Amino acid sequence: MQSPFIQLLQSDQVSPQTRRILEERIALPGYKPGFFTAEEWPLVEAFSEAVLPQTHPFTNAPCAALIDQALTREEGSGWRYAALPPAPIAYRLALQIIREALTQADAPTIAILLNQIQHKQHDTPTFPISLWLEGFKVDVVRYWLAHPDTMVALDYRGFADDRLTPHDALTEIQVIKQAQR
Amino acid sequence: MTATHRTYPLDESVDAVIIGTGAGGSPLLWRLAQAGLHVVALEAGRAWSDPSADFATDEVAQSKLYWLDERLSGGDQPTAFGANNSGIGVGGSTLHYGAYVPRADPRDLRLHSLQGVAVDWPLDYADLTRYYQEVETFLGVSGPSPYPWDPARSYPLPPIALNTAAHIMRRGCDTLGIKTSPAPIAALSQPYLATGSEHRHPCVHRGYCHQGCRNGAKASMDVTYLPAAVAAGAEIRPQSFVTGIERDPQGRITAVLYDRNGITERQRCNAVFLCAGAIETPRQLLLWQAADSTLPLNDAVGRNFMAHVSTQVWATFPQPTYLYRGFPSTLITEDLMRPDDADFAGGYLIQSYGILPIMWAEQVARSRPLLGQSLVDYLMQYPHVSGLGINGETLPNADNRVTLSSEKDARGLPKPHITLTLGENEERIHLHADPTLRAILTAAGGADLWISRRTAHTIGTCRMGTHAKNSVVGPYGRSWDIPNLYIADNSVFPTSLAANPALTIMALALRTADHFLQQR
Ligand SMILES: Cc1cc2nc3c(=O)[nH]c(=O)nc-3n(C[C@H](O)[C@H](O)[C@H](O)COP(=O)(O)OP(=O)(O)OC[C@H]3O[C@@H](n4cnc5c(N)ncnc54)[C@H](O)[C@@H]3O)c2cc1C
Repeated sequence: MQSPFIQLLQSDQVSPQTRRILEERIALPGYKPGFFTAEEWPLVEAFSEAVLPQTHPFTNAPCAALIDQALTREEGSGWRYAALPPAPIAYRLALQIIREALTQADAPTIAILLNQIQHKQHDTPTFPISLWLEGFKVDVVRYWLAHPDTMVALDYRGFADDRLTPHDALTEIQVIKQAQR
Repeated sequence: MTATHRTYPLDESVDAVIIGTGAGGSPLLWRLAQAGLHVVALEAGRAWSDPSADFATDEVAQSKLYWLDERLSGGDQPTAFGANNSGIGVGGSTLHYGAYVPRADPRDLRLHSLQGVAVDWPLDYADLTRYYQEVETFLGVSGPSPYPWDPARSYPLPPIALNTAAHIMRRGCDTLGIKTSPAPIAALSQPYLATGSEHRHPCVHRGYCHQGCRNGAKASMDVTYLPAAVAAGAEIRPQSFVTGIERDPQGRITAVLYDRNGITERQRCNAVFLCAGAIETPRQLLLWQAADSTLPLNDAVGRNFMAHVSTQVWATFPQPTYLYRGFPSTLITEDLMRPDDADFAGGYLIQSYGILPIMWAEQVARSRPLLGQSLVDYLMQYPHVSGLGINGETLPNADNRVTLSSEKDARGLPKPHITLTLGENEERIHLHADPTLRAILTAAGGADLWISRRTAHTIGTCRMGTHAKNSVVGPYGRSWDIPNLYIADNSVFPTSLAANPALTIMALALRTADHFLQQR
């Protein structure tokens, strides 16, 4: 039996181009990083999991791999904080700071370190790492929510719009409106 | 769009080259083509010939509609670019705009006379009104007739159906005695055929309007002014990134240089309309001057960058909200345009916000200090959240500006550096809006409220005025420095206005075109 999500994905309510994109995301093969070094890679994965653990609910979005892919392809979001260096440099600097903090004598846990960074405790005038973390969080939540596992967890069906008529959608909105009363 | 697409040779000195096919360039291209002029539009992005097949219903995949060349954002309140405000492609930012199209409040054009701040616009509101009407009719704007805050106004189509976010806002506002109304939306509530345009289908409320409309219901430029311009004889050249100009000894532009598939081409022309948006327009002027130090440019180029104060408040509701369905922003109130207790100049609009999961979650990531399981737990609330936001006046400040940075992009051109530091007036608007939005959401039954302090739209940077001393173009968009150069896009606004910009950009572009035609 196919899951309701897969049934919906295969139905004519989903446009072919949307289905292709979502299916590609489900079928992500084993990933070898292109930007991060072998030493950096486990740290990036651990940090991504610390920012957004994928256990409750269980999901399997390859956030770190997609961040690596974007850095390898030099894809950005169209802007960055002027206070930060270009993304490849910012990532390397941040990982170095994180590694050092986690390997010192009385090292904090990764969760505590994250919190400290978010509260600007590791910012320096030349590298406001809290701003880097903000961007990292944005990347992680984006790739997590783009993944079909997460859509299943949220019972998300926004992608199923191919056969919508004005009437269908209004009926759906009416149902919602009733629920709101 | 390509069937009868006329083309012009590079060595023909065409009547005009239009740089950029967004909200400014497109109506202008159409008007000039209609008048029989030979016109060529150069557009950096590509043309999407079949949105129903080209556009996926997916937030990440549709980032192909965003201007992704990196900008450096500085100042005390750096504004976000890319998905937040900047588009690329035939249709410009209107491909992914929200199509919320209120008219400007007449008082906003006279902030200096009425409230002693900023500058007045160098035109009469009545001048704008007839263009507003023309644009609304051409696009097929859906809205209430009469419009509650301007009873003389009516819209060609009845309002777009409200989504859940709008119902929630209305419930909260009703409780507090704030008047609301379905908003003017440039998307069709019914099938529509405007004179000179193509037949378009009504909105199906799929909700991915910011990711590109798939059935032509949303009045982006690629389904309205641009096909009409092509039908009238205009040429649109996609994937043509302008990099420079040539001038004659009198200082007039004689040709525009652009990069197309890695080759530099040169289109001869008699006039140029720069419509590349409020960042790329001043960037072009600065690049042109960097390549030719004799190019006269006044100091106002790139200055007075503005982005609306766009504070949003989000709340969680017991029942599902399904914000992904329905047109995203469908309700408005103009009651806060000049509130009695205001301690600021100007005012703000409140609008309801439907939003897709990623766009919402990115704001959560930036604005809520959640990490780990608490972040996951909150993001899982998406099916139950709803929000409200404002569009508030941001006063011009000459120190907020676009300059060229020392960093180069993939084309070898300096990346733009933009600064935005908000002032006292913007802070007061924010401080007025924050409790107002919270009260509305609380009255509607929302809990766990949080605020996202943000700015939106790219405005100013080549302002129009009555003197070359403190403006870049005259009252009709003509450059003070280069006689056959006009600017028609969001950069000419002398103040931000509280209204979302697209409708006013289109109205001004038609006005600029008419002036140009009269002067010939
Ligand atoms: C997500 C989003 C939501 C929005 N919602 C609303 C809304 O609800 N209501 C509203 O009124 N406004 C809204 N806006 C804003 C509105 O879209 C813009 O204000 C408007 O499109 C700006 O028009 P413009 O002509 O100045 O620039 P644009 O529409 O951005 O057009 C500029 C064009 O110039 C091209 N260009 C730039 N540089 C070059 C070059 N060197 N060579 C060739 N071409 C070039 C670009 O590719 C682009 O196509 C929204 C914008 C976004 C991004």
